[in-house]
Amino acid sequence: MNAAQLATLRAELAEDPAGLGYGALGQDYEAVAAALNTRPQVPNPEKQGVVPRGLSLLEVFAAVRPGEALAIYERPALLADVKAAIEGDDRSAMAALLGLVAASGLVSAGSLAAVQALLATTMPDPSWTVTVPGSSRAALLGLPAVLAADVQLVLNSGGN
Amino acid sequence: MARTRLTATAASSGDNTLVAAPGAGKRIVVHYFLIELEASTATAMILKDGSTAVFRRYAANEGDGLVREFPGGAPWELTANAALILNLSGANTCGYNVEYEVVAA
Repeated sequence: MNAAQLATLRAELAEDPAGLGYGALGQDYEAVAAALNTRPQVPNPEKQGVVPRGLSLLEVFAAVRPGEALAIYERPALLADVKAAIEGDDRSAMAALLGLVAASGLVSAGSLAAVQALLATTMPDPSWTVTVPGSSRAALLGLPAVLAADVQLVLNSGGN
Repeated sequence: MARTRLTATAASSGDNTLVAAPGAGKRIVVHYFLIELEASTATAMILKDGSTAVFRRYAANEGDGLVREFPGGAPWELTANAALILNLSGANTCGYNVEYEVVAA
């Protein structure tokens, strides 16, 4: 840290405006540094989005007319690709295969529309969280990650 | 007054008293000190005259440290009735050797 940053840290430790309780930590400089570097959880500023819902092979074939599904089952290579695309949730592969079976006339327009509707279904993004890590007190003060040695230095008067 | 040679370890975060305050009307006079980090965690060492930091060393690796032998006639005279303190940035073991005497202030 440079002199200005050390001065900022010195003032922060002396005044504790955010009430982090530095005084109670005494000379446990590592704990003081940790308090400054911890990123508190804050409400997620982003709304929960949606993602394509994962599909199963049975769901997809249930959307296709039985006779057409049977025709696909009779083509092992095609079936393997369809299965791999669904199990891997590979949307681009699914779209390509859907185009292929539509062009080949293996499935009717009705079945095609049903599968497309199935592919368009979504679910809430499971990776979204209610809270996310916010800014550390050090970051809010414009400081780099604070080291125990930085805390030690400012809490002990300078010498030669 | 006779010189005292002291060897021990310190391992507390913050102040570690190497030589206690000698009492009113007396002062510690240091002729030699060596402090060595014995842990593998980087540690900053501050040697203090009472509450005043005087020597600092950032010991990045085990075996790093701070050593000073004061020439004859120019020892380090601490403030009257002040303790010799080793302040550590973390609870990491440091070995030390100090040669000192206590004289009238």
